[in-house]
Amino acid sequence: MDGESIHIPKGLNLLVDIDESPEINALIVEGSLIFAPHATDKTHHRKFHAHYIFVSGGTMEVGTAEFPYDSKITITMYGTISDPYLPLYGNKCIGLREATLDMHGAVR
Amino acid sequence: MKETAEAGSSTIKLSVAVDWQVGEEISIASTSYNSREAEQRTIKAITDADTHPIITLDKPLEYKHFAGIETYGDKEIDMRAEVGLLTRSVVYKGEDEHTVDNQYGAIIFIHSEGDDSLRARLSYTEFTQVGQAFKVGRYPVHFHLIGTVHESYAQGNAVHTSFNRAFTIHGNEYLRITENVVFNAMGHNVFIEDGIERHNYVARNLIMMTKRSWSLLNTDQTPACFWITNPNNDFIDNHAAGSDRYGYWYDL
Repeated sequence: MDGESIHIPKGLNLLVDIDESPEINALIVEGSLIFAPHATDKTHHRKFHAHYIFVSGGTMEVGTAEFPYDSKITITMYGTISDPYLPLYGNKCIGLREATLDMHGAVR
Repeated sequence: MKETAEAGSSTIKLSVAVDWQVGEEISIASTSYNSREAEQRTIKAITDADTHPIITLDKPLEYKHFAGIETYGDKEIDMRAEVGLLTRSVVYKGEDEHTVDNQYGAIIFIHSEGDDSLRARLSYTEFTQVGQAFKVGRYPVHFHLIGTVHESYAQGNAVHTSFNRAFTIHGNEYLRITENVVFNAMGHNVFIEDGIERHNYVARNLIMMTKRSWSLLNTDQTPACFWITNPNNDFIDNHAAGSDRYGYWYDL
């Protein structure tokens, strides 16, 4: 639901295969958050909405170098200058701490 | 570009093959003394894409874009306008309703202390409506005080409509920034922050329409496509294709 937050603990993997997410408040990723491209339809357009994504000790994967995300995805971030800040990392952000971030679109 | 396009023209001709598709966005570099003559357009049609592409634009160009190779003595100087592709299959952006009005976009903040304590591998991703204007440290792709980052890189991405830089290298070594396109970003675009950064590799990037930021660092009022505070970094085959003030600025 809009405004809810999600914690992915270490050892758990969340595969995002819904077409469009609600407007999530915070995602705290200590396990893995994986976005899957559509297997056959390269025009498929996945949409993901969040205010904060904090990857701490885990992995966020939107395609890999070997298998790029070759259908379409838009990750949209929300927030204003007066919203709370993650210490150091800010808001309207992906924060990465002792973690892995892979974002790989179709090779151009 | 292969041939000069006059103001009012709706087609441009390219000198190299491309895989660009109808509906994708491109930016065309300024070739005058005014860097703000860079223009963004949508591809309405494309022919001969695998030889010498001819692109029909969604609306006519407002400005002339020169394409020629001039000879001075025994030197040839390539003066052809660059054209960059801005569209990618993966998009990371600030929301559409308020981001542009507030100049407050999405960011990626990459930080943990310790050599190779994290990895961020970004390729062929589009970053738009990004960067948070006038706030030091709030950049689209910000590598912050990590140490060596042998496994991290940014390759082939497009950054456009940024309110605060494109790529920031702060306290990192061995980062690779290659073959990215940057269009319409405020402040120094590729930014080596402190002067302690070494062994970073910045190659074959295309940057156009770097805009001044009035309230960031003092030097951002006269911005550079590439702001370089330590000469022990590699800058190879980049194109600084238009800025409110500087292309490369070695501020040592």
